[in-house]
Amino acid sequence: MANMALLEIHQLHVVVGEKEILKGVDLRIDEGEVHILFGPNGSGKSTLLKTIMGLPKYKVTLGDISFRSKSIKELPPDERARLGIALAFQNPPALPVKLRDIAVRVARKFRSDIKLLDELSLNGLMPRPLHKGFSGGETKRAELALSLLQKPRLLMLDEPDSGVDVDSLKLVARAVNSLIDSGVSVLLVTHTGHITRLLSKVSLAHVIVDGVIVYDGDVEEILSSLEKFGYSAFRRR
Amino acid sequence: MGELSYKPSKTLATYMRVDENQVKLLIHEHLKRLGVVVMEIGEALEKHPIARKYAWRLIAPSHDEYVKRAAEKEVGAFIYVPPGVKPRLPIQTCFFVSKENVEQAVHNVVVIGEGAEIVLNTACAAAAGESLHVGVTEMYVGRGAKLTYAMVHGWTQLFDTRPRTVVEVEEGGSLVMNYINLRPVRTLEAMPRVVLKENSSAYLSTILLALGDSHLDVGTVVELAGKGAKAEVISRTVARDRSHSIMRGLLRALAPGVKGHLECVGLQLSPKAKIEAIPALDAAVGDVELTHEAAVGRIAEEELEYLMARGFNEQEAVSLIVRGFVETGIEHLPPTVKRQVRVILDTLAEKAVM
Repeated sequence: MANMALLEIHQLHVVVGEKEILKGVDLRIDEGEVHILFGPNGSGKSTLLKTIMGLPKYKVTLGDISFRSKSIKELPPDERARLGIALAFQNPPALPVKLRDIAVRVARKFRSDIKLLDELSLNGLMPRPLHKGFSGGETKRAELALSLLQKPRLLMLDEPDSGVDVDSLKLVARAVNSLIDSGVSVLLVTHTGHITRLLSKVSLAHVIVDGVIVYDGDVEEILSSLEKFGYSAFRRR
Repeated sequence: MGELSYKPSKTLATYMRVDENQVKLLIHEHLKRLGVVVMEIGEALEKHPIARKYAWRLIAPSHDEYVKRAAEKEVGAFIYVPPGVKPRLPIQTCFFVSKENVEQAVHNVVVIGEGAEIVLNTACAAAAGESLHVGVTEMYVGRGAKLTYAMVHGWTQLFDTRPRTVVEVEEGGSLVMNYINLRPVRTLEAMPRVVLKENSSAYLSTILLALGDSHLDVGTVVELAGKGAKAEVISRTVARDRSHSIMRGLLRALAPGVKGHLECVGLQLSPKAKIEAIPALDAAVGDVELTHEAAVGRIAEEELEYLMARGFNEQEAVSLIVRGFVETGIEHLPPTVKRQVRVILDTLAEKAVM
């Protein structure tokens, strides 16, 4: 049986303000696949995730994004979320709303069980305003928690391994693995690649440089090139 | 009355006044045995020496034209809790205007004896039409006593209302006051005054939803009159449509060693909604600590977009942020009141985007 494409991105160009950040990105993620996106700072990794999520600041000037064979380019973020796309933000804003209040409402909206969050040890964070004064690890766990409650078909994680303590990273990896094992597709952005070796499966890895995906290949191969040469190895291509 | 409907079964005493003259009074036997008194003020001034002793002590009948009207009519509730008495359930008062052209001007006197503790819930509402409500409320909190006072208002767009509340807290006493305005009103002008004696404390929160063409001018004056008195005054306004809100606050330090913090924060949901925040501090003596904080702003786009990415539409996202914004001071309320206030704030957050 041929794999079903879940997400298809074709020649995507995106501007933020006046500046073009994505300059023709192609990407296909099938059902159940786990993709890692590597890239140096400012290469367009986060922009790609936020554009897929539909945040209004990220304007598509050319190209298309389809989810389950339908273009979602014109849909607002809440409709994309309801289709099954979730984003764990790298730097989410602090909100004046308690994590518990948001979690309860997200769970109600997506008919999920708040008990899903038990393994992320969030109890101490629940009564606090979301992301206000949260540590790096707390932010990542809370972001993943809310994403889990959305019962996503495509989970996007924006640098879940940056600024995180080892314990939080393990908790995050474990929760992501249980989603991967249940067949959820993942698009994970990382600068360092720390988390990739904790994942139960990686289908394909990509490197984005200056708004273009310059390399697709095996995650270990990319990691060892990065360890030896850094991103300059990919810049030369 | 929806969110303002009262449940007598959950209270120990209820005083309800509809329009000018209809009064309904329920008081549980248990409370009577404890010596708690809930009665009409006119009757109390004839029969009860404590009512006579305290009435018009904190505010003069000639204070302004509205207080004068209440003084002429002399109707309202007298509530007395004897020293040391701590009823478990709240006493409730309710003032309702059911029709047009009513002038409901009431005078309430609340006296809490030494070491007593009481929760007082007040709901004031109007069904429709052009009317006036004046509420002069004098509250005396005895030495070491505790009063929790939760008040909710729900008026109509043609309504004018003039609460005139004055509270005196004796040595070591404490006051928690939570005021919520939920509906449009033509004009609401209130400047409650709280006098704090030695080592007494007050936590006062005011949460206003300004809708339609409402004109709200609401503030709190706290006189830190005794050594070691402490006050925290929090005011939150959610403003929409063409409403105009003025959040005032004044902390006056009159004795050494007092502490006070005043916070006025406004959230504008419509570009034409006007909010003024006017916090003021006045230290007449040395060795005091007075601080204030004021801010007025809109919801950040980034916060809305974040919540939309979590599956909420724009209206739901705004409502959720409003709900978080007004969640203030809840931890100071006893559990029964806390639950009620939470429900009211849920309603407020829904109305804010309706």
